[in-house]
Amino acid sequence: MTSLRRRLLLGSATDITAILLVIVALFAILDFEAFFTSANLINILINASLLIVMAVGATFVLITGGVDLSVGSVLVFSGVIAGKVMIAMGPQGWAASIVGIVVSMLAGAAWGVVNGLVITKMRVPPLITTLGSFGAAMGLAQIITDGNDLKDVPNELIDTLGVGRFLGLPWLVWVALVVALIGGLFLALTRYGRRTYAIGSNAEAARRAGINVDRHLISVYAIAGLLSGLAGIMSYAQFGSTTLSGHGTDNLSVIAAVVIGGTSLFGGVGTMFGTLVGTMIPAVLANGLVIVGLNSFWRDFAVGVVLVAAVYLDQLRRRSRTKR
Amino acid sequence: MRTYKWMAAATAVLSLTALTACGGNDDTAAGGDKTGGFKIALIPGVANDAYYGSVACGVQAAAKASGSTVDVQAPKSFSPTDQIPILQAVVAKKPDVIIIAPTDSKALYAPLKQATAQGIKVVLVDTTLEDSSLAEAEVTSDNIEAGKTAAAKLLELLGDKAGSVLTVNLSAGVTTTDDRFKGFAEGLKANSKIKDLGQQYSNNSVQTASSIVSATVASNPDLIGIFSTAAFNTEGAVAALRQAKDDRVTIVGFDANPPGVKQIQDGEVAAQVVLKPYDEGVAAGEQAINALTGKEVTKKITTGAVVATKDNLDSPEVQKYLYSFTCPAA
Repeated sequence: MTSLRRRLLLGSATDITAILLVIVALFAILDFEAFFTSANLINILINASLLIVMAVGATFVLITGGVDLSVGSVLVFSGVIAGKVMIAMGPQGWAASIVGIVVSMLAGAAWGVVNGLVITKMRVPPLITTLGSFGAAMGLAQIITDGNDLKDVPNELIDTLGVGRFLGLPWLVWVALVVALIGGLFLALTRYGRRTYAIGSNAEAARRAGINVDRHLISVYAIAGLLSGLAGIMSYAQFGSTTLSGHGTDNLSVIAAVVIGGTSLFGGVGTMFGTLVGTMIPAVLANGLVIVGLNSFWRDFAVGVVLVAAVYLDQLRRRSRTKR
Repeated sequence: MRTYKWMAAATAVLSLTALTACGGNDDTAAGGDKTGGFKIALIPGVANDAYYGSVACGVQAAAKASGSTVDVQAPKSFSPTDQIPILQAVVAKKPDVIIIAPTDSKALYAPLKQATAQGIKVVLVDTTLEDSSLAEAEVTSDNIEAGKTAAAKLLELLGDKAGSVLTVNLSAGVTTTDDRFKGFAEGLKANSKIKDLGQQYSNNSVQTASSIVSATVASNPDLIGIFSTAAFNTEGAVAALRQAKDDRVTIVGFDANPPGVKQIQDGEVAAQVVLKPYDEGVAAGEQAINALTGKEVTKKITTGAVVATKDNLDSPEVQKYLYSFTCPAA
């Protein structure tokens, strides 16, 4: 692998990958038998899969210099809409399952388009726009369900996406990895990806270079919404419940993961591989700390430390670059 | 520059090492003997809740008798999305038994099934599953009965006054608090002079509870009683009445958390219905040990409630059941 290709693939994620490996090694040393089993490692992946799917979308958003706080609420909203549609269809069977998946993704994408339109056409900053839709999507989900979690999921959906496995790996993990792979290739190799970086580096320059910045931003937020919708149906299938109260802090977890993975909050910089690593660190910590007998609250503390350290590394890199 | 960079990385890793190192004292003393020294894992519904603190005390007391150890791991919110990852990590450690308060009657089924498939026994405490057949035993509180108790106490406190009564409830779909309201509404029918205004949901927010009560005080001049089904609601109701400088209204609350106890002492709340989490914990622990030692297991156990007022607050019968993280001396 040449150093150029290596930079392209890993980018700034080398340090953080090392941190992840050290954390894994540490837990493996402390309690090999419980931690380092395939069953447990797969559990960690399952628990990271929803966040990975949302983090892929958030990586695009953050690279444009924006932010999306609405992901967890859009996840719940999409699950609720899909759940209502599937219940109306009888709630069992393959047809209902597939329609549910499609409806969930469309519902998520719709929120994404709304976010994008408000940000580009109405000129409301992304932080405020998505904070608004964070509240609005959750509110609508509560109104539609009257605050009661929906619990009718087609058995076909539970047996496949929810708990089923393919070639030894759970479907949830396959979906997350495939989404990350496609997202990564899109970001690194296509014109769409290059435009995303360009807008994040300097939106005005991108506009003058003839890129339709507004249309591009709308599509980026639509992708983030679509992926939240996908995560919504994954969550519904996994938990068998719309988990209305379970995703309130997903947005912060997702942003932390993406930033730990080396994506800059100022836009223009980031890789999908870094995002993957950044999502795995909190997931490994959450699992490993319980296994070694520490309260899982230490995860919040540890993730906080890693987050600040990651941004500090990013700052150091920027400074050394400008010096050169 | 490079040194700084590595120093930052090293600091992050080191702090983790320090964290994990102090938790690494996993005693593997539990042997294969079948009479004691079991590894019990307790997973409450949510952390930092004195109610579950008392459950843990009860489990610990029951575990002590057989020389078993209890490892408590609580999710940070009352939600399956937080609880299931913790459950799975606990399963990986292979304890002898898991005592859990499921945060969702359905979502926890599959992960718990995986636990039993590995030979780990499961006991449900406080909340339960739609299909609880996988559990050795389930210990719950009778919340309908507790709601009736609350109604009886409020009617007793109101005497022969006439007026309307409001219930401030948590959120729709929470079975325990829904049952409390159900029992309360039924109990309230005993006095025809009392008009039941029904329930309003606070969604577990102090502020919402407070604004519900202020609005009701303003719109119903004959409001004389409030039943609050959970601690946050009581705090909100007390705050609203304090602001309205209204002393016509009698509050009966639920749960004896430390703030709830203080509300009784200060006379802001006339009575608190107190469940018996300590008894729940003891019963769950005992049934877990019974299941492990092959003794007879009681599949279903319900624990009752007591009412705490200013008069009986210091009696040992009530003191024993006040929710607390510090366990009573056994």
